[in-house]
Amino acid sequence: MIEVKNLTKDYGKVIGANDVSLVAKPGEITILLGSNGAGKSTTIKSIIGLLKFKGSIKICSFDNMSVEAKKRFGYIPETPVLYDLLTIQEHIDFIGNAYQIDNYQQIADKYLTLFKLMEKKKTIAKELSKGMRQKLSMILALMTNPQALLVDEPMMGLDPNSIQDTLQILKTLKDNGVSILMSTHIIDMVDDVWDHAIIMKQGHVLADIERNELKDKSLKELFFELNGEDKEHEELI
Amino acid sequence: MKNLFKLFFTKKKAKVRSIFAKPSSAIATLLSLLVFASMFFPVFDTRDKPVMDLLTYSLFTLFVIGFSTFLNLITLFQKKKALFFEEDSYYLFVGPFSNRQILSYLSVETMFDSFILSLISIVSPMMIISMMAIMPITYILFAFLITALYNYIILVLLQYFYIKDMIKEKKGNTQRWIGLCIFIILVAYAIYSYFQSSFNFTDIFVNFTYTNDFDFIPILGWIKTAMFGFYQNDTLIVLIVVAAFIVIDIILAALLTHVKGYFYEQAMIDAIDFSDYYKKAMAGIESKEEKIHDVTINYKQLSGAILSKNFLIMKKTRSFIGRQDLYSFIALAVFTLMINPNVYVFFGLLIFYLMNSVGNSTLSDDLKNNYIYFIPDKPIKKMLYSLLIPALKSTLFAVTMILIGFIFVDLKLTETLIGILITLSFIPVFYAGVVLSTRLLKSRGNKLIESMLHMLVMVVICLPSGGIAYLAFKMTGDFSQTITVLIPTLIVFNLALSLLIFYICSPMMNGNAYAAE
Repeated sequence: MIEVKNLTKDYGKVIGANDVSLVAKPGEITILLGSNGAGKSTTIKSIIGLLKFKGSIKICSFDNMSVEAKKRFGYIPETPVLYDLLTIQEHIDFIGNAYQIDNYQQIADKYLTLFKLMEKKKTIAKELSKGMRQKLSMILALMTNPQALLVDEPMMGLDPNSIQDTLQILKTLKDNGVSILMSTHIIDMVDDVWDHAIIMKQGHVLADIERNELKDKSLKELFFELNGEDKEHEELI
Repeated sequence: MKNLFKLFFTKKKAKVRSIFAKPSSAIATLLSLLVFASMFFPVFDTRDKPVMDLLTYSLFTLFVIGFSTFLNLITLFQKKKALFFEEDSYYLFVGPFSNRQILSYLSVETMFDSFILSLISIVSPMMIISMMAIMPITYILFAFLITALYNYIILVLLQYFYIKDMIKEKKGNTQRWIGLCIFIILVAYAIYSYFQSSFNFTDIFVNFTYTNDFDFIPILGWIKTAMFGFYQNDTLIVLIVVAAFIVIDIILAALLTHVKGYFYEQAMIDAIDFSDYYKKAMAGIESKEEKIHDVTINYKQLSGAILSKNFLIMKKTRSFIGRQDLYSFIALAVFTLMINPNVYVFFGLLIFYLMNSVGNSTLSDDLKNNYIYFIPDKPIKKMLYSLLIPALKSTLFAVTMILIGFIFVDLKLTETLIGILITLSFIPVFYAGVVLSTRLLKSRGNKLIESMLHMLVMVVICLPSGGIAYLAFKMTGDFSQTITVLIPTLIVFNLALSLLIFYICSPMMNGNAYAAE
């Protein structure tokens, strides 16, 4: 479970997140929706400890900055951060050992096969394509067997097959009780998998809604209703 | 913690593997290593050299202290700082590591850095002194050890205050104050010695050697105490000083690893910034933090927009001449004024500079710019518009330098005019060299290979002009007799050759000739 209470992140010139509270429950896919600058990445980066904030964040009941919390969450960044000169296998060895995962090779191999990267195990990260780098970044997060998974715009650079595979993996993780918090601005892509949606705009939470609470409206319709642009904008379109 | 050290060694192994992955990089590295190793040869060559006496050893000590302090001062005063590179920061701050583990890893990395710094700071003193006297290898090893311990103190202090500033969320200048203190202490010692030695500069060194005054300066003076103790086989002094250094190192490392507070956010921002700066530096890209001015421009149509764009960038950054160009200009001007070279050396240097600078012009960027490929105009026009500002810069630089030469290198008026005409005729040829080599290399190259090929192609396409000049000289036996014919011939020939190359390579400006197959 990821619990965020009254998160405020003030960058000085702009407030990235303003009194944001949310809960990503186990066995659910919670999506953070919003336009560019809505505060999605700020929220996720605060949760993983890369930003200083006001408020409180707990991951599986542990303070987000504690080692206990860090052992329990996985993070897939929007842009993969990899050691250019290390091979795929060397990345896997590092993460496997850093998180003290006993059977890490077995788990990693499962994902490597799924993402068709088995043959590339000895390739250095610098020589991987954008999509392959993204897949490796996902494998490194998934192989830690996280209880909470934070995903920042996960589908960037992935081909259609890999997007389907990723969504399937997320569903499986959800079924296994993992709390998934995913930021995105592509609603269509997550339309079939989300359980809980948080719509953000300019650092504020506009709506916090469960799938079953949406009756005759689609998530997309709700999003555009809440993010309604002004008349001038509509005329321009 | 064990995993972080494993990562440290895996990264070093990967670096070596990457160097030897390509034959070109392996050869370049081996050659560099060979050059580095050759610096050690004088140490083993003991022929016709006296045994090192106290004065020579003192000079070695002074150089070692000087070089390592100089490097430390550079480190203390540098603007860009980061605890780690971006990748390390990311995995350390997001991964399951405590502050203590992260900072312990930092203290070990710092130890590695202090050894590297020590190695760099003893090479030059060792080279210089070993040419003067026989230098036992133990002296070098001891100097290496003691400077590494000294460097560690400075580097750990730097990291400590940097982290403290990040925790306090303010930009502090503590490390600069440390640097300033070291500098003031050294200047104060020099002034003190100057007065002590009856106002004689050369006696400052005698004072350093024969009195204990310098030894009283904390840390810096102890290096001398230890090194002199080692020379005089005074084991007790050596042990006491080395132990003192080790104790201080341990205390500072403990202080660093026990820092409490949140610093990840700023450390991550700095890591990204520093990694970017480092990558650019490695790729030979000048990284500048320049002020951008608010300006407007009237755009020309079609290919003319390229010229307008280059002009706009120039206006926004107010930089007709880049920092690197300016330094080269000053260096060449100072060289001309101080050394007073002859006319051939002067023009040789100027030509070499021009050949080098054209490869770093905006033309190279324009040749690889997607937006320019899509402009619906003739490619040759796009190329010529891209060339205008860089060529104008080179022309102005060349003319200014030749005029300085006219005033200070005793160039005659006719030599000056001939020099200007011939140099100007070669500028388009140099740019043609850049275009041709980019066309040949396509998108495969890195900065080093690109520069080498630029030079090679420029030399090759300058050969016909050289041939013309040589033939003229052979036929008449005197340049001055044929100069009136030779200059127009060279100008026409060089211009025609350049235009031909620009025309042949112009499809590049539509983008269909740049990407490597």
